[in-house]
Amino acid sequence: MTRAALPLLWLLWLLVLLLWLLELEVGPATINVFTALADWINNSDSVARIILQEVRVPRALLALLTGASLAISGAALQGLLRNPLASPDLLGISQTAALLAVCVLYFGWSQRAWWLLPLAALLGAALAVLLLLQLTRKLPGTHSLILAGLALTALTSALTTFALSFAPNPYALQEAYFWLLGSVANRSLSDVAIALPFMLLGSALLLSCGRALDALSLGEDTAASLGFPLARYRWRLIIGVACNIGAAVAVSGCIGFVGLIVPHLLRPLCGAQPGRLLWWSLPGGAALVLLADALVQLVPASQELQLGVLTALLGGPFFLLLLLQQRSER
Amino acid sequence: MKRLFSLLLALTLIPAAYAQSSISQRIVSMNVCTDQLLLLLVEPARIAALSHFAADPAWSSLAAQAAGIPVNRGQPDEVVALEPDLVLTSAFSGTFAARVLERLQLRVERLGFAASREEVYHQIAQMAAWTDSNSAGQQMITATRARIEASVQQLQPRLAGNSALFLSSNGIAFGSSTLQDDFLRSLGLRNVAAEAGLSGPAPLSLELLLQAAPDFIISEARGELDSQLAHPFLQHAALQRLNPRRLNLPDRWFDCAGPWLADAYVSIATQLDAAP
Repeated sequence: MTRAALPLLWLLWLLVLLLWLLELEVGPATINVFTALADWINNSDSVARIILQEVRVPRALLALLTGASLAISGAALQGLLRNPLASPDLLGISQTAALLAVCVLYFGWSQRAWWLLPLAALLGAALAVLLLLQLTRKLPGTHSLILAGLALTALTSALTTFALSFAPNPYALQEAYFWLLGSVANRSLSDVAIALPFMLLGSALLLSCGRALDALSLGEDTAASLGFPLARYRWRLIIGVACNIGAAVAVSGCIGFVGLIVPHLLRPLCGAQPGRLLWWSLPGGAALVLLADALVQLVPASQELQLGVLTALLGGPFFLLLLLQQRSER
Repeated sequence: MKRLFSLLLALTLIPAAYAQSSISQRIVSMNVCTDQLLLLLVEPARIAALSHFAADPAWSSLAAQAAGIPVNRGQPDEVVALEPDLVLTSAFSGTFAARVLERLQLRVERLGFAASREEVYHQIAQMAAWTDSNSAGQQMITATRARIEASVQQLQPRLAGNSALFLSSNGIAFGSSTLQDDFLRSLGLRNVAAEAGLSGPAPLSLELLLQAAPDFIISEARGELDSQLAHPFLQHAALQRLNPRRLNLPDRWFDCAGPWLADAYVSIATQLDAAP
């Protein structure tokens, strides 16, 4: 890491901390965060404390963790597939994870063990990445992979809705919104506890592949001659992405475009080194999702917007700009 | 000539007079609310079909009575094929199908939405009038009114001044202008959803729910379905800590007008007696 960039990275983490604190202040109820904190420290059970401790802290933590996970996965996928348009939601990885999560949740298996839900989502994500890796061999070119991802997204989103309409709960279908657009509202610390181990494991696996991704950016053969054969790192990357996406989707649905936007915005700061980009994407994604979730709560809609609506509003135009940019580069 | 004319006139009038006095014998209901009142008010032989929710205990309080009666899925073509002389539906569901049936000269009656006890009684009376069962309807109204009034007398002193909240799936609460609001106020309870500014059924955020800190939360216990996402609040750690008194009333007692509204009052009394 260069000397100039390192302070900037710390600055980005400081921004995450500030946004995290801002997220504690934002919410439909008007509470004094300092009084709530004092109640918490003095262990007195006030409503303000319950709102802070059980509603806002878990929500802010989940926004932070989900954002970091999605962004580092996006950066890793862009490196692994050597495709700047790759991201977990555009390629259908998140949606496949959501499909398996829905199947486990609505047919009653999630009560058997806490890890079944994230594990199912993880499995879905891993299957999708494997499928996409196979497709990259058959479909050369940046855009054909994105088209294949689009097909996978359409298929798995439809199947998710299909599965929900067969769930034994008559209200389940309305939750397609949650699974297809994503949200961190009304979650609790137990959701954080479900996601955190998988996210830590996944991020550690991805970060350990940093130098391999750097080498891979020079081409598969060069990477092998530099001592980084893709075969050895491929599984580590796949499991790393699957852990992150599986955990993120299991607790917050498919929040789109974070994995696309963040690596692109930060790439100029990392000297186009995919390995370094991984470290930067963590705070970058956390900051973006924290900000988006604060905005979602400030929009005066009669029913709170799903977080994914806001990230898509940012991400859709961003994606189009990227496409135009790519065209002019060719 | 004059006698012939009056004879002809009489002949043409007979069918009309007969039709007017005739009682509908092939009634089709396309809505679960009209299904249930129909089952209570007329003999099964006069029912040509009920809606496909009629035999589903999740939606209908009279699912057992509906067994064996044909059902329809609310499609105009299948209803026409049943050759009904009266079609009953709600003013809010199947409106397209109902308009098609009216264009085909069928008699369609639409039941409204009851947001108070008086509107419940009025709807029972309306259904009784449409199905020519006025005396059964009046009996039902009188009995329901008496049961409710007796319960109110008994419950009001115990509950007055407390606050309560009706919570349904997907975090939907019931604000002002709902039957649930009328129910709470009749017992002297404050409806925190109405106080938070909600009108009709509307989502209430978890934070505002916690801030309102109701003494009672009334919702339908659905067993393991409660842990699913549709009921995000009921299992939430924050609500467990606030620990309001939980009362269990099925949504269906409030979704449709009928004598089961009295069951809701009686059930509250039973639940309070079981663990005061």
